Amino acid sequence: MSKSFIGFSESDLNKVFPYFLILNTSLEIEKYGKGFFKLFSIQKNTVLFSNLFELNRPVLNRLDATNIEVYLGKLLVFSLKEKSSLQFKGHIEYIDSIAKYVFFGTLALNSMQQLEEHNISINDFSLNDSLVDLLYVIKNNEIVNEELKEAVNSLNTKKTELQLFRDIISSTSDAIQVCYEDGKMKYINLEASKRIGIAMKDIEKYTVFDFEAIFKDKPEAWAAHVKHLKSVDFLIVEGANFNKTENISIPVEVTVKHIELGGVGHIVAISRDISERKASQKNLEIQEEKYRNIISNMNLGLVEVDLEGNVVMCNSSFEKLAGYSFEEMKGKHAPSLFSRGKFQELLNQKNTERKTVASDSYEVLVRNKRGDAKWWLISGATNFNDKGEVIGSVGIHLDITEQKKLEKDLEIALLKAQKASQAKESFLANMSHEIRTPLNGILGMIEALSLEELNEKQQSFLNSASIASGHLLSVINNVLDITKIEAGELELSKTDFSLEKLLRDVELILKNQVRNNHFELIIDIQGVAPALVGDEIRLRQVLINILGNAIKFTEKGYVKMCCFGEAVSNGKQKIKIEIIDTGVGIGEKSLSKIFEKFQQEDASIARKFGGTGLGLVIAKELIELMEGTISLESKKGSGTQVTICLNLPVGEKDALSENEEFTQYKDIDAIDILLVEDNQMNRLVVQQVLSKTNATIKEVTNGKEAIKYLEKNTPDLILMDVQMPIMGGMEATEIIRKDLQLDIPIIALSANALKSEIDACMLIGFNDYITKPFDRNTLLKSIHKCCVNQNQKNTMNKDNAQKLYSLNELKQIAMGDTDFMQKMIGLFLEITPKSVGEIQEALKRNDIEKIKSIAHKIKPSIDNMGILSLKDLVRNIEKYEQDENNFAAFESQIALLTTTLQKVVEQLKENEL
Amino acid sequence: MYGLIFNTVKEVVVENFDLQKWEEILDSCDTKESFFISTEVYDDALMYRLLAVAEQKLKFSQQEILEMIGEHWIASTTNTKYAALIKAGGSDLKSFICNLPFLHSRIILLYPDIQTFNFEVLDQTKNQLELVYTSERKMLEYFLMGTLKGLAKMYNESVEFKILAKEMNGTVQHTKIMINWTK
Repeated sequence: MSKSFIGFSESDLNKVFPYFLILNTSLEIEKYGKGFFKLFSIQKNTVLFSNLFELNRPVLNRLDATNIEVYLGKLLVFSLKEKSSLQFKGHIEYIDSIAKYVFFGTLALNSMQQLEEHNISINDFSLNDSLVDLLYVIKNNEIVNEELKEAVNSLNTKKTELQLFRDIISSTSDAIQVCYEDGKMKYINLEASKRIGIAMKDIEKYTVFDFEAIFKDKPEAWAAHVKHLKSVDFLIVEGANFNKTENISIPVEVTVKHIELGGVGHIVAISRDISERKASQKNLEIQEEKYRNIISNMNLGLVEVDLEGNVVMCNSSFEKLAGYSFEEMKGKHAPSLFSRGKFQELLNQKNTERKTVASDSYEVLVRNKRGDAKWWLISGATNFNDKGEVIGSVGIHLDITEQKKLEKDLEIALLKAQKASQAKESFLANMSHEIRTPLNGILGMIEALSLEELNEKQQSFLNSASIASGHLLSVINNVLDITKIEAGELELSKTDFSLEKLLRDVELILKNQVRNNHFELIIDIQGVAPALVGDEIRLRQVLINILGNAIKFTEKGYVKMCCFGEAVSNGKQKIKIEIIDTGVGIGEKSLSKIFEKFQQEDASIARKFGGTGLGLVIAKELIELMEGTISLESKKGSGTQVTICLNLPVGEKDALSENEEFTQYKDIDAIDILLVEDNQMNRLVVQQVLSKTNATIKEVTNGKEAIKYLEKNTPDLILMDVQMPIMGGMEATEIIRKDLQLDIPIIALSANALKSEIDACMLIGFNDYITKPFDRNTLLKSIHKCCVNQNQKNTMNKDNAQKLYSLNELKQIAMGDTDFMQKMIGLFLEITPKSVGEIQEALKRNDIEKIKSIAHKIKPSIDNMGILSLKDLVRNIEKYEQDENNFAAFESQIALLTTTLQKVVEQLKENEL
Repeated sequence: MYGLIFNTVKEVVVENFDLQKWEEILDSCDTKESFFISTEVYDDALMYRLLAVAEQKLKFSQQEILEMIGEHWIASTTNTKYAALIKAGGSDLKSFICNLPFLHSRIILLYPDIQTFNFEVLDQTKNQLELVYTSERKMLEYFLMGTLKGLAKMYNESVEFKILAKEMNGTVQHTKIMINWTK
């Protein structure tokens, strides 16, 4: 070691090497640099270097006096044994002047944190020591590394996002092209690549001018385009993507936009394939053209009007219909132009309605330009604009003038037909009247004569007269029945009757005819219920007709009528009646027509056997009305079998008496009867019929006389002919009910058997209706019924509790169920007072419809409770047609209805609860 | 200006607002930069654009923003990046400020592109000293004020700072700051 040329104090040494050590030759530490004092507590005694420090580099077992010479001047790295993280670096030199070893070195740290850890500050280092700077650099590197990692992560995230966008762009069905402002292509997506036939990777070889011909060789136009794009958000234009290789052009809608990417201007074009839209647009145009043609050429006139009804548009057909040109009509008020009065009002009204009513059709009478009256059928609809606002209406017009004429002709024809039909009905009614009236007389006289003592010859003549007039009556009845059937007026009654008795009666009636023939009439009846419910008279008519025919056409052998009743089921019995004969039979050809009108096998039949050819037709209609069936089997020469099947409700045996021979003369004894009849013979018949009673009969010949009589007298009953000279029965009855306010029972006697007239009579105030010619039974029963009703009424007036109801029908329905009976009665008692109250209230309000509706409602209760006196009355009220002439009668009927019902309620409470 | 400062601005914006706000500000600065590397030098003009945009978007004055950045920088570096270094700069605020010229001399060597600026400590008494900051950059005295406030917080000392004077010498500005220990 050379001699020192500058003096170096310990203080100087501390400034330059704050971490110096002075060691003796035994390598014991004699002095420490000031830096060490901050790191550990320095012992006063000398310590061996190797006891305090551990040599890290070079690698030795230990550094001591024996090997120090080798390591002098070489870099040593050692650490403090008690704090191994504190390392030092430097070198040991032998200093001759002091004969000591000196360590020149400093701290060797590798992170800023260590400074903090050991509480070392910048002032603990020599100013020329660059360790702090090194630590600073290391720290900076750490920070920058962190920042770079963060940036890389962020870039990776962005890359993923970018990939997503790239995928979206690749998969979109729009073609995307990007170029620079100078026109050089930068990017195309997959769709664009397909459309223009250029690979994505090759696109940079092209310029926009290769695809956009309009800019080719026109740089100034392109520059202007770019400039324009910079000034707007975007542009939408239509164009085409052209594939030169395949020579395919696709129509597109292009959205073009200028964007800055990294400070560089780009033009982005997004092209949407509009082939379909173009195709449908074209299709729409074709359709529009087609419909435009249809509309302008169709025979229907089409007009569009605004909200005020002024013409906006019309087709050429409407011009023809109207006679005006469109120019003449444009802006004109359509309703005023074509119509006047109520039709103009209608058109105006429709125009107004069109704002709320979507569409409808109507007919108007208009005048065209020439002034010709025309009927138009207009189908109008609301017209909307593309915002859905109502802007007026559209009407399609059809000229229906010809149809209207045709309609009117048809109406006239129909009217004529109706008149003809009425004439026919009127003729039949008149004919019926004209024949029946004298016939009534004839039959009455024959009946009267038969009660007298006659010799055989006279008796024979009388029989012939009886048969002849009976036949005539039958012919008339048949014709009338057919008329009724055709008019749908034939209604069946429902009464209890004994089928066995009916069959025996038929046998009795027809037995006389058999006596003249050489064959046997056999009647076989088995299992028939004692009483059934049905129209006895009509069934009798059918059986007489069929059995009569059998007898008529049979000369030998037998005629058999067999009747079988099945077991009663659900209150009904199936009945089968077979009429079998061994007569002439019917040929096959005629068999199929046997139930047709006016059909007889041949003309000779009519000559030989007579008849109208209506009998079987009527029989069939009647059986079918009874919901039964009738069939006929026959063989020419062998005979005929007619089978009738019926299913009739089982009736009450007790109720049968009503249908039997009239015997209750005492009820009509000693009553005063006013007979109003213009026909003397008929007056005689009535007198004859009533001769067995003690009734007093006052005769007048017309309505006027009757009124006059009634002004001073009050008979118990009036028999009133309907058709009479001076004043007919209808008019007279109306006066009796309305003006005279009399409620005397009035029975109509009329030769008119049509239901329409019967209804009219009942409504006007008649109590019953008998068609001429009548037999004595019918007349006597009718008089008896009216007398009983009147007596009931009188009894009621006297507050005499005679039973006004019958529970027979209810019992029949109940079939022994008394609970049901009680419930029904209870229900009647509950509802009836309410109904009566409602009727009285409605009458006060003059609410006829309400009264009719209540009458309809209580009708079944009246039937069920067997209130016979109200049975017809309630139906009359139900069918009442208001007329100022018949209102009084209607009121008195209502009074009778309500008082009777109230009485029945009282009686039921007293007798049945 | 080194990226270190830009990153501090970013941290201040993200911490007080959100990342979106930072990107919004950066997008408005007409720059391609998305990231700043602390040891990279970026154009000073970008920092001033950034400050101008931030002033509009954040509704703070540029001075306030610079102070916030300075204060945040200390807080952030104390807690994370340069904590040891800062703490190695002195055992209290006064020693740190006194070491500042010396520290600065070292940093200049590490950052060769750093623009000349200088610190000088004057008139030091027990409770007061004056610091002269010399720089060609405008307004960075507010950044310095922020860092001093941040350091006072770090050393947990009650100190008042006041700019006593600003003097222009050519393109260089001298800013005299008085630092007064109140406790």
